[in-house]
Amino acid sequence: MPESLWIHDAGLWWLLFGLICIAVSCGLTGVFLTLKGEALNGDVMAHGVLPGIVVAFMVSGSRDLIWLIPGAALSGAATLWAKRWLVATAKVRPDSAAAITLSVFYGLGIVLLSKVRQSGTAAQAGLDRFLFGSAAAMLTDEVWIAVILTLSVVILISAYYKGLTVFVFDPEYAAVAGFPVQRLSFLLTFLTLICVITGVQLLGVVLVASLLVAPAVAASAWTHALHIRLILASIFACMAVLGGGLISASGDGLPTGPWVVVILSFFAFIGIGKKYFVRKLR
Amino acid sequence: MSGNTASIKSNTAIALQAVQVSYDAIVALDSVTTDIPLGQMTAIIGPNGSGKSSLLKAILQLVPYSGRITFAQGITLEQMRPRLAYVPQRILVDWHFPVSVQDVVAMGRYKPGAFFNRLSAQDYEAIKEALAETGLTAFAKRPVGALSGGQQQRVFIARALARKADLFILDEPFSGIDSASEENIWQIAKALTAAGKTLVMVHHDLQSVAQHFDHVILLNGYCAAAGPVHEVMQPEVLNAVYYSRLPSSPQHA
Repeated sequence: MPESLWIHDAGLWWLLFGLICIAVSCGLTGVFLTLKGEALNGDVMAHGVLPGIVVAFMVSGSRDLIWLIPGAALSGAATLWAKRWLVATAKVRPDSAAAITLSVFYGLGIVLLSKVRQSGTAAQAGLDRFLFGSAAAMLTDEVWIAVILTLSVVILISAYYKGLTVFVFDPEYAAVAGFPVQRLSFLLTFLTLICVITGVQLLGVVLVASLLVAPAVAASAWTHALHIRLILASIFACMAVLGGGLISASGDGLPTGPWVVVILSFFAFIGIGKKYFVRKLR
Repeated sequence: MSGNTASIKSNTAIALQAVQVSYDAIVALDSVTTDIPLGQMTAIIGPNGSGKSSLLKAILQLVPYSGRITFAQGITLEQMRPRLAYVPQRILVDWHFPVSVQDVVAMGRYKPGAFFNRLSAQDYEAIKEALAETGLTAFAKRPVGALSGGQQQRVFIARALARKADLFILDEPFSGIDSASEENIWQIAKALTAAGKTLVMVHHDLQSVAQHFDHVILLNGYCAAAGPVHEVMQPEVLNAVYYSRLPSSPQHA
């Protein structure tokens, strides 16, 4: 695409706006998720969305996100429910339960995906992008969906900011003071699920959790104020998503997800290095 | 349940009737029936595993229990919450959490259920007073992770004070803190009871019970004794609980 043209390409600007929305919602949610010590739940749900996406495709025969997102949300939620069931009922330790459920659901998704491949449906090629992500493959209608979902994340976090903070910092105190801890816990899970299902088209099921975790880890090195940490994490996530999106769009066959993760790791690495040296120098 | 017929004596802050706490069919605390007096400082004491925390958590409905718990004037916990301040054990939270001392104290003023939850001038006044009473004014902007254990405990006390509550429930506020913080917390506790507030504390240090408390509940998997401090803190009462080799069970119950 000639340089003089792409500046005026409304579709491209719209896509960039969609990417920023996804990045900001993942950055904000990730800060609360990591502080709660539930980063793995993001990974569990991310792997869990794959069978839902494939089944939704098999049922609807369409690869429109309107069909795939409900499938992704249902199976992502089912995966986390299975993990929690194993912990509560079968007394499996949380890390083991997470490892089991995410690999079982992911494996199931891959099996279903290979079935679809064998059947050779014309549209099946579009499903591969959910493995490693592709910013370029996002269609204009899909950006709408991502924008609406991620803006709802930002609104929910602002509305429940204080309640979420108390709940994540000190859940026992929050319960006694009368905060709706069940609802806040559900809210955090719900926000994570929205982040996962909107981010998965960009980064793929294996890598999307890193967009929740890495910006929060990188931001934690620079500030002890929660609101600044939220802003920093959002900025890191935006830079990684835009950078990864542009790099992958610039060349043939470069997947978006891995490039976003490379940039995110760079931010996280600098943050961890800063923490390490500050501790050494003290 | 709110329109109940619960009868509660006028000088009682919390009435416990046959309160029992079980975890997976194992009874942690068996059938406690006693009254916690209004406007006094009550210690809940007993050996490790005697059910002190279970009793506290039952009062706060943090664990399932059977029996009946009623607050002053026959009200329920739901109705009591706005006038109740809880100080959990300090070790239960992650002190690297990115909040300042003032942020944590301000949590005492957050209204549950409200959206966007802005604090009023009155809220900021209460926060300022609580910081001053606990000697934390100079630390207000510091991250909580940079404080000592005793200072962190005082942050929790300040958060409770900011609620301007009538009933204070504290879970081992003196464990692992420096003597200056300990002194500060005793002073605050004294001032609160002098102002007619009720304090209930899980306490470990038997030495200081007689000096500071008015009322004592001695647990040993059941209620071994309860009453004014001079009645319970007798050698024969304590020895029966602390030096019995095997946990005894309440045969009379």
